[in-house]
Amino acid sequence: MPASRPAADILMSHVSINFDRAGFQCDLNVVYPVDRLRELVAEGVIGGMAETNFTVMGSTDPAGMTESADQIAGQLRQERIDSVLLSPV
Amino acid sequence: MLEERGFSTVVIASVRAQAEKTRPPRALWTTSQLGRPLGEPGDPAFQRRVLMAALRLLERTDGPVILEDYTEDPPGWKDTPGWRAPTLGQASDSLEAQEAWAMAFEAELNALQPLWQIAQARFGRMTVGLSF
Repeated sequence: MPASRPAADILMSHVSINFDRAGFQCDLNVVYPVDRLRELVAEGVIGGMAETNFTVMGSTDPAGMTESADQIAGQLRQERIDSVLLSPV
Repeated sequence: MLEERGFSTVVIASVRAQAEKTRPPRALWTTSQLGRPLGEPGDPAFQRRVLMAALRLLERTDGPVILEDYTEDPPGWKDTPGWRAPTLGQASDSLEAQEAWAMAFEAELNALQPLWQIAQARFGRMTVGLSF
């Protein structure tokens, strides 16, 4: 998911109705803090942020995630990213 | 798995018990409600504080498992037991017939439609039917 993708083009889904979606509708950053990260980059607090972000399904057997992990890792290495923030959604 | 591939990771955890069980290398538990791990909409200062607390865990070397609590509640968020949307009627346990349920559902949709229209105008989109 390109970091530049507009909020209006992003959906939030979860099989559980316990996950609030109203906050996300109002402000993407409550769960996907791209704007906050951009500010930190602009202020020099962090060196940069990825151009490509990822979303994965939770509650998944790690054994089935090897290919996805390799793909994500490969893309992040290309973008010279060394740290990953994971946000529950 | 990303740690095994050379990345440092930090998780923002919504359910502390889950973080205790899965034991990620670095986790920041927040009191924010599910779906809003970084706080309330329109509060960039709070979101930034949560984000910075999470990112600071990347500097810690006292692992292998770090679980820290971010105990500041989002300002303005209050637990209000018994809250109901103002347009909805009181729930009734006496509805049994399928027809009665269909009528109640239709009534609820009609009651919510003004809010739907307001949201549509405000956000320029609606995810009803697209998101579950």
